[in-house]
Amino acid sequence: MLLLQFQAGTDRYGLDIGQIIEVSSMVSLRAVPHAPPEVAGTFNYRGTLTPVVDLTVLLTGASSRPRMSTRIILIAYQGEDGRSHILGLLAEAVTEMIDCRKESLQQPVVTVSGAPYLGDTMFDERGSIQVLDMERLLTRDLLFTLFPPEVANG
Amino acid sequence: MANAEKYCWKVKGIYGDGSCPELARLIHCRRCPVFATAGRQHLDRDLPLTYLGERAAVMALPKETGRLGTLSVMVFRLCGEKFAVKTIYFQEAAEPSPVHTLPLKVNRIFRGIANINGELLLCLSVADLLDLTSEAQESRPAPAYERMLVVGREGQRFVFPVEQILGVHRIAPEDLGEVPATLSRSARALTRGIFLLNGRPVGLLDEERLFPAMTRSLNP
Repeated sequence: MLLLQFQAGTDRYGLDIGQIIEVSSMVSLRAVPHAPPEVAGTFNYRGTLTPVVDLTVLLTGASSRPRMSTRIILIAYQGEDGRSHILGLLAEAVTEMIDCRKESLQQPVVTVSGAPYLGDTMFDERGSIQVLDMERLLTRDLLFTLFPPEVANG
Repeated sequence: MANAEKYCWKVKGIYGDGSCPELARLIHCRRCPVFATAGRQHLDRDLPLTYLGERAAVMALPKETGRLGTLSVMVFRLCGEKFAVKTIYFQEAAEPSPVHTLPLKVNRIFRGIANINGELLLCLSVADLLDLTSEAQESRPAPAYERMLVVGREGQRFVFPVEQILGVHRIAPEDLGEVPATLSRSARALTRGIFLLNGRPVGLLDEERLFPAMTRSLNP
């Protein structure tokens, strides 16, 4: 499987490219007042209002720095509510794809209840990469904040 | 330190004196992880002032996708007019070579046998097949770009002289227009449609009719 690599703090993480629609450069985002800190804002992605979650905030607490290599990864997010949404993930140093063999992945030794999305880890010559489980990236609360149920919209 | 190590490809690499021991294995710096990492770090620079706004405008537009079902055609010039055949039927472009006539066999269209890179091929005049030749054009000096074009389909191979080869182009089926009535009758019969290339009309020859017409010209 191919992983899109990004960096949060000093650690490298990977996302399975299967669900990725497109990688966009950083754009000006519209702030969402009173939203949780990991919600970076919303933007017009090809005509659709798309929320952006800052992975650096989610993983380290600090915001992504505005750089050329900081990019928005657009994914098709299958939420717990059974619907598919387009979600933007803001991450730093999104410049590389990593070829990863399933058998080289190692199960996590430390599981954190607050971060169920942390997945298996693999090693390469530059260190380790942890794969993130995109399905579990958003908590239920955050999912409902970003994509309110249809009924609520009327 | 820094610059010698930071820009090692300019010092001991392919852009420098080539003394890097890794070069023996990698041949070029672009295969070296040091070079690749430096290239990626180049992207870790601050954003230009207007960047966010510009990119937001780009990302708001619908995604541009390549046109589907396009057709690759080989365009050439005959008697001042432009024609094309589908690239899959184009096999070779050769320098002009003398055509050897066959006694009692040749006619206005079938000109004889030509030696194309050691292979003897039947040489025809597509210009005559399309009824393009006029006296004015006969007297014109031979253009400098003259070539022999080899086409083939289902084991049949023919060669014909053209004034110039204009290269391979891609067209969409919807770009093909009606054949104008001003073309000669034979040209109209063998042309599938007209498309515009740099604003100039090009006739796309219909291989379903062109190859049988070529075969027929051998035994008129």
